[in-house]
Amino acid sequence: MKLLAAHDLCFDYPGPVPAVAGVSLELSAGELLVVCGPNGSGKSTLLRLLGGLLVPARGEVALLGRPLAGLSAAERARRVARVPQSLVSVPEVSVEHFALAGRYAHVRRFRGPADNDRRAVASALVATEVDDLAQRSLGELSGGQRQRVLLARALASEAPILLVDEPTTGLDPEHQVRALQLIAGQRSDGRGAIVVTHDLNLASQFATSVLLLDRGRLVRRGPPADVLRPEVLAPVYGEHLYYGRMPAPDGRPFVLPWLDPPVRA
Amino acid sequence: MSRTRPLLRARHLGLFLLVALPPLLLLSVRVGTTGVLDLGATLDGLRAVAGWGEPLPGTLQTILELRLWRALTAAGVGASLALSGVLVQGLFRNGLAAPSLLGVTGGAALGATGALLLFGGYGPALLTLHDAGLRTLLVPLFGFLGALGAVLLVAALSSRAGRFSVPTLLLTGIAVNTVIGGLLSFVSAMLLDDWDISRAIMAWTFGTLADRSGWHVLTVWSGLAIASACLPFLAWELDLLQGGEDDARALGVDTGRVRLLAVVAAALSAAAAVAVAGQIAFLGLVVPHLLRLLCGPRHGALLPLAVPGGAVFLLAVELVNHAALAERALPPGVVMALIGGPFFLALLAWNRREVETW
Repeated sequence: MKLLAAHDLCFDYPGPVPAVAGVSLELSAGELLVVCGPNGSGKSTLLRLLGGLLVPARGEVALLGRPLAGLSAAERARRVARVPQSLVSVPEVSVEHFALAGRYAHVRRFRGPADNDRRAVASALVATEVDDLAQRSLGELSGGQRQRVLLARALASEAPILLVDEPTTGLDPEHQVRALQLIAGQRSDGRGAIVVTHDLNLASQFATSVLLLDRGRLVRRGPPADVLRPEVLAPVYGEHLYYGRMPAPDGRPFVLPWLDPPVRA
Repeated sequence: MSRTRPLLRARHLGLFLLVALPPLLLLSVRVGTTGVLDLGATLDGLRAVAGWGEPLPGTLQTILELRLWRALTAAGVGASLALSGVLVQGLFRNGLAAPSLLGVTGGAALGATGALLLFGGYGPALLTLHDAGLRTLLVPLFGFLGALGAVLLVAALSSRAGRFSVPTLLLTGIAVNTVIGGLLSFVSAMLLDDWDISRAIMAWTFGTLADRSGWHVLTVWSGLAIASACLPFLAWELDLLQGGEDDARALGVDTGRVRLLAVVAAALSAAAAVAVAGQIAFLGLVVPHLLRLLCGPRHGALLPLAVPGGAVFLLAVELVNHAALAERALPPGVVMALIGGPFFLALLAWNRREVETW
C-alpha cells in the first residue's frame, strides 16, 4: 500500500495563476521525494494540500489508503507529520516539552502523556541527536539545533509520512547535510518523506526521486539524474545554470548558478 | 545555559494563592468604608448569613452582608477578568491583548447604560426598596446582554463562513470599541444634568463593588464556572497555537473549535464580571503577565492559576484601598489604573526582550 497517494490536485488562490494545477503523486515506504521548483511554483501549496492544511478545489489525497477529507484532525496527525520551516513565535519551553507536542494526537484528554508518549519523545530526541539539549530552552538554540528539534517533534508523532518544508534554509553546508541525513535516515522503518527545497543539489544527493514543479504544474518526476538535465531545467529555471557531475564513484549531477553562460545557437 | 524553569513552580504558587484566599476574604469582610469589624462579630455575622445563628444587632448585619457580597463579587470579578485575559492573550498570541478587545467591556457598559436610562439609577436606594425585586439585576442583565451582543457583533464582522482570522478580530474589536466609546460619551454628555444617572454611569465606567447582592455573586461565579469548564479543552491547545495556526493544525489541533471555545469562555467570564462590577481596567492585562513572569508561558499552569490569582489580586487591591482611604475609598477601576498602569510600564521596561521568530 502507498503511504500517500494524491490524484489530480488543484488549488487556486484568488488571482490569475493557479497555485497547483492537476498534480498527482505517490509516496511509498522508504522513499524520499524531493519537490523542487522556482519561487511561486506551488511547492509550499502542494505540501499544505498533502498535509490537509488546505482543501483542494479538485482532486483528492489518500493517506495509508484512507481519503484525507474523511479523517479527523487527530487521525490525520497520526498519519502525517509536518516539519515546518519556522514557527510564528518561539515558546519559552524546554526542548523536551516542545517535542511532546508531536504526541498531541495520541495523548488522551484528562489522562496526560502516557509512558509510550514519553518513550516516543525520548527516542525522537535521540534520533535527532538533541537528547543532550532536552532541558534547554528553545529560544537559545542555534539554527541547526532548531531544525533538529522541529524534526524531533515530527518523529515523536510516529507518523509514517513526513512532510518537510525547506529544511536547509539558513543552515551552513555541514548542517544542511546533517539535516538531510537525519531525514533520509528515517526512511528505514517504513516511513516516507516528502521534502520541499530550493536546493537542487541536495535533492540530487538525497532524493530517491525528484518532482519538478513549474507554475503549479508537474514538469517531471524521476530519479535526480533524469531531472537535473538542461533540457528539463532550462525551460523552468532559465539559461543561467552550469551543469556538472560529482566525481566518481557516485557521479551525481549538480547545477550551479552561472552568470555568463555561453549563448546557445 | 538558560533557565527553562520558571521562577516558581505553578503548584507552589497555586497552593499559596489558595491558602491566601480565605484570610483575604475574611479581612475584606472586616474592613470597609464604615470601619473595622472585630473578628468575633464577623464570624458571628457570617454564621448568621449561613443560617446558623443570630444576626448581628442593628445595621451591623446589613453592613457585614454588603461587605461579604462585595468581597465575593471582587474575588469572582478578579478571577474572571484574569482568566479572560489569559485566554485572550493566548488566542491573539499577543501579551497586549485584553478582554476588552473582544468588545466585552464596551458592550457591557452600553447595555448597563441603557438599563440605567430605562429604569433609573441603582445603588443603596434601590437595594433597600422592599419591592425592588429583580430590578437590581436589570443593570447587570443588560450589561451582560450588551457584552454578548458586542462580542457577537465583533465575531460576525470578523468571520467569514464560520472561520475568523485573529488579526481581523483584533482590528474589528478596536473599531467596535471606538464606536461604542463614542456612543457612551454621547449619552453621558446628554445626561450631564441628571445627577443620579450620570453618577451611576460614572460608577459603571470606573467599576464598582459597593452595594452588591448575592445575585451579583451568583452571576459572576456562574460565568466563571462555565468558562473554567472549558479549560481542559484549551490549555494544551493554546500552547500549540503559539507556533501558528498551520503548525497547530498539523499537530492535530482542531483550531476552529479551539478558537471558538476560547472566545466563548473569555467573553462569558468577562461579560459576567463587567456586568456585575462595571469596567475594571488593566486587571485582565496585568494578572496574566504577572503569572507568566512567575510561572512561565504554559497555559496548563496559567489558566488554572488565573482564577485564584485574579481573585487574590483584586481582593488585595480592594483591601489596601479600603484600609488606606476608609470612606474615601476609590472605585476599583481607578485604583487598578493607578497601580496597573505604572506597574505595566515598569514590566515593559524591565522585561524588554526582542521578539524572536523562527
